Amino acid sequence: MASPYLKAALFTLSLTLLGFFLISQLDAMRSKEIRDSIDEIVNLAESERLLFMYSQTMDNSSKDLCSYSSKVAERRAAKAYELMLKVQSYEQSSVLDSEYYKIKEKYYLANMGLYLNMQAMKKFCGHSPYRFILFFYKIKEDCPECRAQGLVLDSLRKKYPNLRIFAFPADTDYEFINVLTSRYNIETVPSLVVDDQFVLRGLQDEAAIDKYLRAVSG
Amino acid sequence: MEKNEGRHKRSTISIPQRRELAIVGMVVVALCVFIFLFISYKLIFLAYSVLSIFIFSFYLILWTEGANTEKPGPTPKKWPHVTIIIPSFNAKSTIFDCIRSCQRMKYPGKFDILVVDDGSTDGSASLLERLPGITLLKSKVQRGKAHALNFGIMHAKGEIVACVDSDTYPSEDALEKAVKHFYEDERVASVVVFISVNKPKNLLQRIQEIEYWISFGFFFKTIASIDGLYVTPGPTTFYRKDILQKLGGFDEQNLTEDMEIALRMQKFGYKIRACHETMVLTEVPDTLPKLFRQRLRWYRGGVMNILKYIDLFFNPKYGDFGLFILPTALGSGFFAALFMAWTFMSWGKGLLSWILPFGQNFSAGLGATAAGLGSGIIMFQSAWILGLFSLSLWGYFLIKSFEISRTQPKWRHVLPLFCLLWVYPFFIGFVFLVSYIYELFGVKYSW
Repeated sequence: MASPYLKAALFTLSLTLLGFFLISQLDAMRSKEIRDSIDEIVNLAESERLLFMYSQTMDNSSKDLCSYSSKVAERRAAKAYELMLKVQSYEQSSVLDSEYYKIKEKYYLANMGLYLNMQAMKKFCGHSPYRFILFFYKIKEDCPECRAQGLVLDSLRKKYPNLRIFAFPADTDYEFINVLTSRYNIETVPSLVVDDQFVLRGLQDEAAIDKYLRAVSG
Repeated sequence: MEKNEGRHKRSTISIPQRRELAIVGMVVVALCVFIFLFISYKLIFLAYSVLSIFIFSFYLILWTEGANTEKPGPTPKKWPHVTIIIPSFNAKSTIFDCIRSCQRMKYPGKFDILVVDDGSTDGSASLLERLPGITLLKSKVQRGKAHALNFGIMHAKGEIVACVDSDTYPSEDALEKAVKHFYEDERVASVVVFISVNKPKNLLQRIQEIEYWISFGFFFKTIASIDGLYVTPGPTTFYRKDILQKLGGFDEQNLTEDMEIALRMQKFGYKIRACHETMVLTEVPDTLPKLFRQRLRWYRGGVMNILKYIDLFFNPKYGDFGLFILPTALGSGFFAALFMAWTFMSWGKGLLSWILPFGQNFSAGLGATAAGLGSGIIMFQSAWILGLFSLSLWGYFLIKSFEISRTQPKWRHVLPLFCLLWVYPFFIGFVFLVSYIYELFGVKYSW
C-alpha cells in the first residue's frame, strides 16, 4: 500500500494542476474583457482623429466638427477613466497572464491619444467645455497616497461632470509618458497637472484641487 | 504537604534560553521583511495554498484509510482502579457540577475522586470539606495546577488517573470508554477524550465550540491514528499512573503542562490514544480579553515547549510525529503570525501616509487607509482558486467534525462558522504574533 504522503502528494499535484488550469481560464477571460474595452476606446479616438483630419483637409466648417466631437468625447473619456481602475485591479487579480505589459502599454497609448485629441480639439475650436487633470502615480511600488488621491479624484469627478482625468504612471520607461513627466517636471507622486497650467505635488485634498479648477475657469 | 515534597521526584526543567528565542524571533522578523520587500503577496498566497492542500489531503487520506472508524478498545480482564484528580483553585461556581458529573460516571471497576485544593481564597475549600464521597487534599498557598496534579498523583490509589479540570463535566460513559483504550497496546500512557464546549451562551463561545469540534474532533482523531498527538488536553485526560511517575510527573514551571507531558511521552516512546465515543464538556472564556489571556498562555507555552523539545522536530527517529505532525503544527502558528505581521505592516504603511504627509486633511488620509485595506477584495483574484480548494477540504473536515460531535448542522451555526472562517483567524494570528513577540523579549508571564 502506498504511503499516505505519496497519495497526498499526488492528490495535491492533481488539484494544483486543475487549479492552474482554472486560473489560466480566468486570466484569459479577464484579459479578453480588458482588451475589448481598450479596443473600443482606441477605435473611438481613431475615428475622431480621422474626423479632425477630414475637416482640415476638406475645409469643412469648424462648427460641425466641434459639436460632433464634444458628443463623442463625452462618452469616451468617462470610459477611459473607468478603464484605468479596471487595469489596476487586473494586475492584482491575474496570476499567469504574461501579456499584461503589452496590454498596459496599449492602454497608456490609447489614453495619451485621447488626451492629445482633446487638447487639439480645444485649440481648433477655440474653447472646450472640459477641465483637464493629469494624474501621475506609481505602479512599481505600492503607493497608498496614490490610491487616496484616486479616491479624491473620484469624488471630484462626481462633482464636476465636465472634468476629465488622465492618469499615467510616472515610474515607467514609456517615451510618450516621459515627454509629459519632463514637461511638467514631475519628480514626486502623486502629482496633478490642472489644465496644463498648475502642477500640484503630493497628495491633494478636494478643496485644494477645487481652488485651482476655479482659477482655471475664472 | 511540605513533608512529601522530598519523596516526589520533580521534573527537571530548563526554561528555554533567550538566545534560542532571539534566533527564532530574528528569523520571524527577517522573513517578514523579506516577504514584504521582495516577494509578492500573491506568490506567498499560492505557495501557502498548495502547502495547505497537501497537509489537508494528507489528513483526508488518513481519515479515509481508517481514522474515520470508531474502534472501541478491548475490554480488560480486570477493570483497573481509577482515581479522578480534580485540581481546584477558586472554582466555587463550577466544581460542584464537576464533582457531580464525575460521581455519576458509570464504571464496572472501582473509582474514587480526589480534589486538590490549590490554596483557594474564595472559601470553596471549606465547602468541599463537607462533601461526602470525595477525598480532599489542601495546599495553604497557590502553587499552580501542575503542582496540584503532581500532589494528587502522589496520593492517588488508582492505576489509572484521570485529570479533570474543575470546570469540566465528563459524560456518564467517559470513564469506561476511555479506560478500554489503555488495553490496545501496553505502551499506551495516556488517553485523550473528545472535548466540547459546555452550553455556549454568546457568539464567542459558539465560535469556540465549532473550533473545539474541529480540532479536538476531526484533527485529534486523525492525528491519533498515526500516534501523533502532541497535547493531552488539560480539561480531561487519562494517564497510566506508573508511567506518569516514571517520567517525573507534570512540569510545574510550564505554561502548558498538558502539552509538555505529551511531548515528553512521545519523546520516550509512549503512545497517546484518543477516544471519541464519549464527550466531556468544558467551560470556555466568554469575553475576548479572557480568551486572549487563555490563548496567549497556550501559544507562549507552545513556543516554550517547541524550544524545549526542538530535538524531536524533523527527527526521523520519531517517524510521522517528528517529520510531519510537529512541523505542521509549528508551521501553522508561524504562518498565522507571519500573515498578521504582513497585514499590520501594510496597515501601518497606510496609517503612516495618513499621519505624515497629510496631517491636516482627515478625509483624504482616511481614504488611504481604507484603500489599503480594501485593495485585495475589489475583484475576484485568480490566486483564490487554490485557496478555495483547501477551503473545500476544510469544509469536509467540518462536516465530519459535526458528525463526531453528534450535532446536526443548523442555521444557528452559520454566523459562528462565518466568524470562525473570516474574523477569528485575525484574532488567533494576532495572539500568535503577540506570543512570539513576548517570548522574544522575555516578557514575564502573569497568571
